[in-house]
Amino acid sequence: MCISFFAQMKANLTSNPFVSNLVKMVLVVTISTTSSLALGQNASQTDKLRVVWTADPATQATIAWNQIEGEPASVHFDTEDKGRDPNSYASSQEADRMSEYDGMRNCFVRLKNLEPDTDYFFCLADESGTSRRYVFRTAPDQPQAFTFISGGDSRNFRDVRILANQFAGKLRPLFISFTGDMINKDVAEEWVEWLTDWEQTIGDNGRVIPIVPHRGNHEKRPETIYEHFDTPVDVYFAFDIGGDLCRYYTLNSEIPAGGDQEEWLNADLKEHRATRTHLIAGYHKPMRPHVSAKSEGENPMLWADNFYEHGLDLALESDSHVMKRTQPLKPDPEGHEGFSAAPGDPNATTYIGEGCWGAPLRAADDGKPWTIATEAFNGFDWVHVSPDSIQVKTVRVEGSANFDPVDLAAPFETPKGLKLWEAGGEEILTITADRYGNVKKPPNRKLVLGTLGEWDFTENPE
Amino acid sequence: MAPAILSENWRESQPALWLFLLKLSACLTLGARGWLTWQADSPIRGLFWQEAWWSSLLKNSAGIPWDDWAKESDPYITITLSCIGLILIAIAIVPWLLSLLPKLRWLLWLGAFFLLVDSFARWVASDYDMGMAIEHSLQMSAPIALFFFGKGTAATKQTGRAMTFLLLIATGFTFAGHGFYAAGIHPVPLSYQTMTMKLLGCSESIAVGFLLVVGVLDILAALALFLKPLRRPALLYCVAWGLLTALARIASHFSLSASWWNLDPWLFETAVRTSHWLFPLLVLGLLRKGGTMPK
Repeated sequence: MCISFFAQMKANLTSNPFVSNLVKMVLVVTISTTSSLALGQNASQTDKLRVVWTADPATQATIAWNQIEGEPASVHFDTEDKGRDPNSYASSQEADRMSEYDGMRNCFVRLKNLEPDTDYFFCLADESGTSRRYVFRTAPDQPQAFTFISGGDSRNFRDVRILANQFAGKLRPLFISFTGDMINKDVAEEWVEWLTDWEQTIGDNGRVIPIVPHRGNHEKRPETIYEHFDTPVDVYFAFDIGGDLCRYYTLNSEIPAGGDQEEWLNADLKEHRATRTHLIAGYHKPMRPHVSAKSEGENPMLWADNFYEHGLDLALESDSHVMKRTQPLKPDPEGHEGFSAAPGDPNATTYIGEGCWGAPLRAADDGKPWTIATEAFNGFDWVHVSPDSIQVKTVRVEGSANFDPVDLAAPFETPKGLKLWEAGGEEILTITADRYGNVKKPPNRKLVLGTLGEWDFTENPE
Repeated sequence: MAPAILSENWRESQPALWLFLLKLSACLTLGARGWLTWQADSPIRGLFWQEAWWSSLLKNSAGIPWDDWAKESDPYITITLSCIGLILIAIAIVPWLLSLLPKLRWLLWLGAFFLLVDSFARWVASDYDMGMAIEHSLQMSAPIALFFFGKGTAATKQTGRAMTFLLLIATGFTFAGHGFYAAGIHPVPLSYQTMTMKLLGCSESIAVGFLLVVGVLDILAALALFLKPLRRPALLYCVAWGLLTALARIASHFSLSASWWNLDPWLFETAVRTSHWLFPLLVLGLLRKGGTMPK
């Protein structure tokens, strides 16, 4: 009788298209929700997960977490999604390094020999159980467009910091370049909070955005960034993204800019300038802050000549708690505060920043003749790098409504609800690519710059 | 005269000069700190932005959410800092008016209070480094010492064993605090490294090594101040090294091509450290033969 009841019910359901579709929909929703919840569970004694890039992100990544108790977990990873079953993953790796620091046990697994431009699914498994399932993407090793986010100063405005983290995750950039001053006080309590908040960049689907950490002046202890992110101890390094499309420099403005760091920077720029389409550098202290109370960045200013000599295209600065965009600049003792606008000069550098990812706002009261725009608000820069150009949009964190994650088919399309900064009337800053290297550039380059519009120029400095 | 004022008890022979230098020290310390608070980025701003300290208090007492405070407070803080800076600059004139208006000396306490707030803010900003807590002892002492020693038109006869001892402690604290940073007990400040590299034309590693040596010397000198036989040489070291480190600010940043030759703020950064070398000199003037404390 029971069997005949179900048979009758099945016949009724399949014969009525509305009921049939409704049942299907309920089943799909139930299965996907259950599956999603299962992937999101964490039965391990791990938290504060982050993925860090410090070297060749096409083939390497460091997975870092805090081991709450017990032996450090192992990382199980694969290019296919195997959910939360660690045994079904093709590879696994034990922690390469463990560091007791700020009351946490930071564990680091340094993955190498990864496939470029590939999603890597992974979970952490320890004696207590298995973490949620995560996924991150390696960088391409061939020139192809990508986006990244740059910003800094998340030190004492926690609500906005969390919001900015959530927004950054939803924009699904390839990586986030965090240009220092994560915390206000370089103490355990603040790092515990910061690393907890950073997990808000992880999407509902477990998508982890790799971080490229930089040191700010509030990371007072020289070893802090190394201990929390397993960077080189001095926190300066460089890597390529997209083969010869872009070389990214992480610089440390909290140690002498001259000396060993400058020697390394010069040598590396010299070696790569001619073959990389774009050269980008990130560091904390701005050379010329757009806040009058801030003293001039004499230390990072030592790099200005290096940047110009080697044709660095874009510099990402932080520290001042305002936002700014400049025209392409060249060092000029006769210019304003040591710079003059050089839109026609292919070696000139455009400077953006200056850091407000959740910090008290300062008055943006020190604009220069070569500044396109500066304004005080919490935000970050969203950068699209392609073989043709670098384009920058600046996100206003406050004022943006909740928005759906970016569709990776259109990775730089502004989602509905996201508010952008109109810097001098323009949402997008465009820097046309140095197609033939950073020293010899073709004539008739086209440059688009904020309110200055678009123009052609023919002078060739060679 | 120079060798004479480097000898013990020189205040006896040069009382007017001793008092002039005391006034000069207080004036330059207050005036320069005033200028820097007014024109540069004072660490006091950071005190207003301690989210953990203020967020509940602001909300409960004034109904101001932290969001609003973080976004809107900067201009008000700037005005406050400008006022503090200008008040300090005004108080810097007081030392020269004491003979005419002795009651103005009470304003020196207000100056000392603002110097204390500035020092406290630096200590908080340093994440509570012991070195930072004690490093500004001499600067804070400058107006206080003038209050006690500079009553009326000339220095009081009662030099005070206690005051001399307090000035020795302040000197010791300042040099020990400086030494903690230079020797790397706290993270070596970037400014120490870059100044050393620039002035000595040396590499980063040599600069760090040099700073380690002088940091240890600073700490030893601070300790030696309390050993009678070593007190005089220790004070002479403090005079010399205090003067050199103060001048290093201006020497390492001076530029003919820069606006105002970079004198702003570095002239003021040098001036605010006047007490670092002038006070050891003044203490020498108070000591009796063999480094004995005055009665």
